[in-house]
Formats: sequence, structure tokens, C-alpha cells
Amino acid sequence: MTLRALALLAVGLAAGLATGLAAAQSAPDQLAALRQALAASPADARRVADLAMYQHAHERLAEAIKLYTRGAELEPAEPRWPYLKAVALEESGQLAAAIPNYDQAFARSGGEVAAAGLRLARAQAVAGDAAAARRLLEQLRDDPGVGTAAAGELGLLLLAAGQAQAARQQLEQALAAQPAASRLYHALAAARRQAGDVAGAREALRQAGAGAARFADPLVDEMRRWSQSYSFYMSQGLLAARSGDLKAARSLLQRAYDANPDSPEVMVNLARVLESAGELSEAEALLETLIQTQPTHAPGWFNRGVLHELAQDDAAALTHYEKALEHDPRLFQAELLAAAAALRLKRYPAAARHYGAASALRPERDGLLVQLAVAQWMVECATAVQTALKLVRRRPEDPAALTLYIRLAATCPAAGLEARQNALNASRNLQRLADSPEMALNRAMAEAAVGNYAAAQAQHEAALAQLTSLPEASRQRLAQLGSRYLEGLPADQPFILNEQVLLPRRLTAADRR
Amino acid sequence: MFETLPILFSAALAAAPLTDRTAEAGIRFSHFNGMIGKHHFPEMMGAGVGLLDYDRDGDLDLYLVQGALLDPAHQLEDVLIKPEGPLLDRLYRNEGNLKFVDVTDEAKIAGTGYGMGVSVADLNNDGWPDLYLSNFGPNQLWLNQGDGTFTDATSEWGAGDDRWTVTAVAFDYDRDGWQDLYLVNYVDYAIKGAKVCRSHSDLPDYCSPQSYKPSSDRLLRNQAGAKFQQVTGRAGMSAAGPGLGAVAGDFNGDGWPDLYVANDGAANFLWLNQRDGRFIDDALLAGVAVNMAGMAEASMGVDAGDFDGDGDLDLFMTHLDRQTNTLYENDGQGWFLDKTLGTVLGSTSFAYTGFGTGWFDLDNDGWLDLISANGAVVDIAEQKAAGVVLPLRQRNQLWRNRGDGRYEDLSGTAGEPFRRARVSRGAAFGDVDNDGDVDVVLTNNAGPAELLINESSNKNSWIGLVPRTAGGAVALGTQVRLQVDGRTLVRRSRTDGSYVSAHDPRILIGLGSHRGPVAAELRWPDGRTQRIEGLAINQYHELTPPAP
Repeated sequence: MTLRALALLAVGLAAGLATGLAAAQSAPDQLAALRQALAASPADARRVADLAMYQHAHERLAEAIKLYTRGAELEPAEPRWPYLKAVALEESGQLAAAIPNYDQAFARSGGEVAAAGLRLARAQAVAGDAAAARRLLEQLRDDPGVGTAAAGELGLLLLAAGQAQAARQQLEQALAAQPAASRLYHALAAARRQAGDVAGAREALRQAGAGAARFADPLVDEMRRWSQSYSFYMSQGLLAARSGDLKAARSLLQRAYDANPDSPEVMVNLARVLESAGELSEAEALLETLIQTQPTHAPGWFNRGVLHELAQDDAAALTHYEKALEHDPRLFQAELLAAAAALRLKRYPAAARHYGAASALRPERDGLLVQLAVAQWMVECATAVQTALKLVRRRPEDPAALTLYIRLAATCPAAGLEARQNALNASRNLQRLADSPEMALNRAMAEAAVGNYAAAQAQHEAALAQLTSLPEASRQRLAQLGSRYLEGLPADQPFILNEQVLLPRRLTAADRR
Repeated sequence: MFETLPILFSAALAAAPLTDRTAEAGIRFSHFNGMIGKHHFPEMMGAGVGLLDYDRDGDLDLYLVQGALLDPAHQLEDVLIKPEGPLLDRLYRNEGNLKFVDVTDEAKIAGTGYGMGVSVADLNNDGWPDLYLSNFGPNQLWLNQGDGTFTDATSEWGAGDDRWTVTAVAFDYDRDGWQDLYLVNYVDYAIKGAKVCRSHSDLPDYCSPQSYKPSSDRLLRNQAGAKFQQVTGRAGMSAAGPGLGAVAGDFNGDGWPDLYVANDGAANFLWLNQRDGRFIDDALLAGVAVNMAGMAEASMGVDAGDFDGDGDLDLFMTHLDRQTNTLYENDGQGWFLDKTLGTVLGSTSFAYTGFGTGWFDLDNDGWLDLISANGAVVDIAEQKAAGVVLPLRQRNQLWRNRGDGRYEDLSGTAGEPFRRARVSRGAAFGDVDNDGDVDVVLTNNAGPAELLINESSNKNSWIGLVPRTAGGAVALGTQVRLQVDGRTLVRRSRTDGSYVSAHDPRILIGLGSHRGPVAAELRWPDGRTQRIEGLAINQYHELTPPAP
């Protein structure tokens, strides 16, 4: 079943949602569906409204204004047309043109669309008609839906007119009714300061914030819901996914995808949910579509890479992670997974490059330096020793950091005599602190590195004797390595007992969840 | 305040008071922004223009700031709008009779960075104006050698800053006789790994400054003309903000220069000079951090001037569309009130995003008029759909001060320069043709510079005052007060304000219908005052400070 077919099925099952919205969602492209619906019934005011509000909510204001005008021709007495047209005009910067439309809406509604009155007064004030704005705001102060906002606006108007005391009264009244309108505290501070109450002004500033006065505006709320047709469903879908309800998440994200099939965020999130639900081929198809249609969208490449990794295809995963990084070099997860994939593929220069970049992005994560050093060791061990030294400088008391340094320096012929001598000194100090088999191994390698083969042999045997719990593979590896360094031969890879560092494991579905 | 003042001068303006004379003046500069379609933030922010008399021959020369390739991974063939000349800033010498000649090469000045702004001041007190170039990347200081050439003194002076500096303000904050510099830095932006933002319709678009970490500004103290000392922390000015414009002036009337910084989408700073090398940000209580409704606006350009003729410095700044430009009236003590609502400036600027701006007396009637150089910062859908490569074009605006606290939008009748839509950014003001009125130079992003000559052709009187330092440079920060026909006219010598641009430092004051000599009270940058009687009108006067 294709994604489009899935979408149709999902929406078909969800029939019965709000009028218009559900109808629009039954088509793969909501905008096209709305246009088609209007073309089929050009005199249907409801269809005009749906398309107008959709366009308005998506900031296609010129188109929305034309449609609102058409709606007003169909329903000359309906206040919603001039009101929403005025809002769109104001949002497109045409304040002067908005004013008569607000006026008309307010008049047609018999004052019932109080928000139109409030917006009209605001527009009049900005346009310089303070007297008209003031009259209207005084009229609206007792309105239960917009009264508080009107008092706040009136306060601002009075303040601008230099009437500090009257402004203060209005602002205090508005803030008492709606303390969350904390922006108004700035104006209250100015009013108090103008009235000579500097302490009161400072007190108001302490309470000031970014909250705006709220007012009832049902028509605009209805219009705005059209912009939520995908972002709303996407956020709901993500919430459902986080709570573990994959079924609901998938359904909601599918709706978001239907509403906006071009949104890369929707596509990535839907793919993630499909992947979590085990529908890997659907997820792959969606991500392939995304990276073909929007080839610079880094998360698309990254998530496609993850699917390759889950399918145990490290080479393809690495390619996709690297494409993601090409478009967004700050994707830490992509760097990390690319480094691990490269290490598994024994592409050591790439692994070193990606671990280096990951470490630069998250310099606080010291563990990355361990992996970086291991990858670097495979390319040029002297660089790895420098990286290990960097780690030791950060964590001078950490036996693990010191062990890394000792083992890399001791088994790297190019590290230089000074580094080898440092390694020996460090191994002796560590052994004094804790005489464990690991410390004996450190000491063995460090002694061999400076040519003390007899001492090295003794430490090596002591370590082997104590390492009874070591897995057989590791014992063999240790014996093999010992046979090299005890004869002064260079190692073929850094001696790290933690195999996970040498061969990072792949992601699993459990990791993704 | 306005209610008690008679409107003394009402001049009828010519239908097209500012006419574009760029081509006949020989100025063939076009800005290059290096855009390659990735919506890199800096590409739509530059660049500026400076007016300065670099050769001290008595007329204003022109310095134009150029862009460069932004992304080192790309070549010139990748850019969407090709350059029309060398990728270097240009210096044009004013030959008189409105003829300019490109003298960049002979001046040995190499403004090679990704240019934003230019600031002008005599930093070593040798009498010759020097240049500070603000860049996206390393800034440059060019010292005027007095022989027609400049030398790069950035390292020697410790004047560099590798961050994104938009503009720099020269002011003598410690009144020691040497111009200090305040660098206005914007946000922490890197080309590599730059964020990709999207419009509401989910198309790639420019990000807002809120997408990035704001940068802190920098105060450089001039050490007797030898080098700069970085004193930002010591001065208490380490606060970070996405600054775009700044202007110095004595806002609280204590005789010491303060500094106002316009931040983009964050609370503005009003740094009040504590007279001991420190500053305190008083913007919140002073009422200029946010607008009256408590909103931090996207401030771009800024200017300080006495728009209402009450003797103190008011503030005006340009903003994003749907925010309105904002005018703050000073009560004389450094406390301000947002007076935008009553001025008509709000409603008429509502549809535009303003950058360069300045208070200037277009018609010499004694009231300060306004210009806003406009251009959007996010793609305009209709222009994008029409295939415009940089779809940010808007008309510029011109307002006349009616003298009653209100402005009149003249843009619709002010001729071609205000009819065409471009992506305007910088605006510098000065008497380019030395005829006693203020001309304007505008810059356009990925477009030409525009020399707009004032042809208001009214009979109003004027006076030009040129306060000089002992070294002979114009003494920036000098404040002049005239009493004319019952009105107080306060102006100052400045090159700062606007956006990324530097103005004519001379003080030109319109006197309306006044015809006799005038007396001027000067407050020099070091705080000394001087009264000069009997100054003839309709000419420039060279003024020197009183003996200590």
C-alpha cells in the first residue's frame, strides 16, 4: 500500500471531523482540494471561507483578501468577511485600508464582534485618530470578552497623550484583571514615573514580562486553526509518540502529512513513527521521497542513514550520514553514527574525521576522545598519542585516561622517546596506586617501549596469571599482542580491552525507541 | 509642549525635493552581496556609506562599503547577482560642481572584508578624518595620512574585532580630547553550518536574529592617539545584544556623552555616562528599552535629535514592518515617552521595514524632517513568485515635520526616489553641494548607491557651523543652541546614527524666515561653553574653542 493510499484510508476512517476540514483532508493536497471544492461550487460562501482562511492562515494574504472580498459579495450582511479581510489587510501592512473594514464589521455585528471594535480602536490609534480610538475603547471597557484588553489599550493611549494619572488607573485596572498581560507593566512604569512615583515605576518594571493582553477573538481563532492543520496534528502526533501510543501518533502524523505533504518536518516525524512501528519499507519510501524532493534537508538524509544502519548496511548508512552533514555540519548524532559506521567499515581516516568533528561539537564529552584516539591510531598513531595526552590533561587523576595514554604511547613507535618515557613513569605511578592486572599490563607495555624487555616480560606474565576471568578471545588477543610488543615489534591496532571501542555496535530498533 | 508653540515657519516643499543625481555625478557603484541562494543572514544586511572631507578641500567626499563572497566554498560564478565592479570599498573624491572621481587606488585604501558599515572620526587628532570599517569578519582602521592616502593601522592600534560588527560610534566618552570607539556587534553567525529557516509557507527564508546568540559590543578607549585599549568590562558595557545602530549624545543633560544602542528584537540599551569611565544601562526606567506596549522591537536605524524644539535629544528608530517606527520624546532629564501614536510615523511606517534613517531639516524651516531607507528582511511572497532574485524590495519614505508634533508623509509626492522599490539599507546626510541644505546618500543591498540632491528651492535662511579641534578636525559631539525668533534650536556635530553610515559632521541649521545675524551657544566636547554673537546667516562659519 502506498503512502498516498494509506493517507486516504486514514482520513477516510476519520470522517466525521469538523465540516470543511475533514472534506479537505480527504484529498492528498489540502489546498488543491479546497480550490477544487470552490471551483465546483463557486457561489458557496462556506467553500470561499474555507479557502480564504486556509490562505490567510498560511500568510498568502493577497489571495486571502481577494477571497474575503468575494465572500462579502456573496453575504453582504455577514460581519466575518470585512472583519477577516481587515485582519489580513492589517497583517499585510495596509492599515488605512483595514480601518473601514473593521468599522463595517463592528457595525454589521451590532457591536457583537467586540474584537473588531478593539482592533478598530488600535488601528485608529496607530493612524493618529486618538479621539475616535478613545471613544471606542471606553465603550468596550465593560465588554466581558475584550474589556481588559480595551482598558490596557486605553491606558496606552492616555499615556501617549501625557495623561499619566488617568493612564495609570486604566493600566492598573487591566493588570488587576489579567496579571499575565505583563508587557503592560512597562507602560505602567512609565505612567508612574511621569507622575513622579519613581519607586512605583521600578516596582512595575520588576513585574514586567512578555505576556500580552488576551481577548476573545473567535473568528481569528477559527482562521488560525487552518494553519494548525498540519503543525497542530504534528505536535499532537509527537506527543502521542512520546507517550508510546504509536497507533495514535501514526494517525495524527498521517493527517499532518496529508495537510502539508511538502513539509520535511512532517515527513521525517512520520517516517520515525513508521520506523518505530516496524514499517520500515514505508518509512524508507517516505524518506527517499524527502531526500529526492528536498535534497538539502539534513534530517532526511540522517534518518535515511539510520534505516540503512538498522538494516545492517553500514556503507549506505555512512554515505547518508555524510550527506546529512554536508547540509548541516552541526548534526552531532550524524557525526557520531558516521564515525562508528566508518570504524566498523575499517575506514579509519573517515572515522577519525567524524569523531574529531563530534568531539568539536561536544567538547565536554571526554569519551569521544577515547574513540577519536583509537581511530587516529589506525591512521597515524602519533596523533592518537597527542589526543590521549589531551584527555590526560583534562582528567589527570583518571586511571582510565592514563591507561589509554600509556597503551597508545607504548605501542606507537612514532610517539617518540619522551612520550614512551612519560608512559613508563605514568605506568609506575599507576601501579603504585593500584596493583591490578590491568596496571601490570600497562607497565609491561611501557617497559617494553623503552627497551626494558626483561621487566616487561615479568609484568606481562604477572598480568596474564591474574587475568583469569578474561574472555578467551581477549586472552588470545592479549597473547598475540604481547608476543609483538615483547619483541619490540609494532602493534597492528591499539591495545584496548574494551572491544566496543574498537568495533562500535550498530543501532537497534530499541535504541531508536 | 507643542500646544504652546506657534508654527513659525511653514515652507511649501518642491514636488520632488530630493532628486537623484547619481549618474551625472559620476558615481557608478553597485553593492555586491555575494548571495548564492542559501539565505545567509549577512547577505541582506549591508552596506553603508560615509560622507567625509578626506582631503580637506572643503567639500564632502564619498566612501561606499562593498560586500564580498560570503561562502569560501563557492566561487563568483555561483553568485546569483554578479558584481558590477571590483570587490573593494570605493572612495570617491568630490571635484566640485557635483562631479565625483573614484580615487580608491590612489588613496591606497583596501576595504576588502565583507563590509557592513563605515565610521568617520579624527582618531589621532592630526586634523584629518580617519575611517573605521565594520565588517562581517575582521574590522579595519584606516588612518588618513593627510596626503590623499590612508594606511591600515588596525593591528598597531589594537582596533580589530573579528566578530560581526555592524557599525561603530566615535565619541569622547571620558572627555580627554581623544575620540573613543564603541563597536556595535550583532549576532554570532557562521557561514559554515548556518541554520536554515523557513517561511510560514515552509519555503527557505532568512532567519531572525533570535535564531542566534547575540554578541556583546566593545568599547575602545583612545590612548592619546597611539592605540586603543579595550575597556568594555571596566566600563560595565559587557551586556550582549543584537545591536544594529547606535548614537551618542547627552541624553540626560549632565554635560557628558551617553550612548543609545538599538538592538534588533531585544531591549535597547541606554548607557548613561557615570563620568568615571563607567556606564549604567538605564533604558528600562528611561522608557526606551521597549516600546510603550512593552514590546522589544526590531530596531535597525536610529537617530537622536530635537524634533520638537524643546532643547533636548529625542530618539527615533526604524523597525520591522508591522511594528511601526518609534519616536521617543525626551523630557530633558533623560526620561522618555513613546510618542509614536500621535505623530503619524506609526501608521505610515507600518508596512515597511526601515534601516537607514536620520533627522534632517529638508526645507530649512527649523523643524527636523525624516527619511527611512526601507527594505524587507524576509522574502516578499509576491516578489519571489515574480522571480525577483532578492525579493525584499520596498519604497523609501520621507516625512515632513509639521512643527506641531505630527509628521506628514510626503513619500507619495516626493518623486522617483520615493516611488521605486529597492532593498535600501544605508543613509548618510550632508551638504554635498555646499549650497546650504542637506542632501542624502542612500545605499541599496545588491543595488546602486543613490545621491539625492536637495532641491527644495525655498527661501528659508540657514547657518552652517563647523566647530574645529585644535588639530583642525571637526569637533564631534559639540552641541549648539540657537535662540531664533523665540524658538530654541539645538543641534550637534555628529557622524553617528542612521544605519551603517556616517554623516557630514558640520552643523547645518535651518532658520526659516529669520533674516538677521544670530548668536550661538556652544558646548564643546570637553564641557566648556562658549557664546558667539553676530554670526551671519546663509554661510558656513569655522569655530574654534575658547582658550583654556
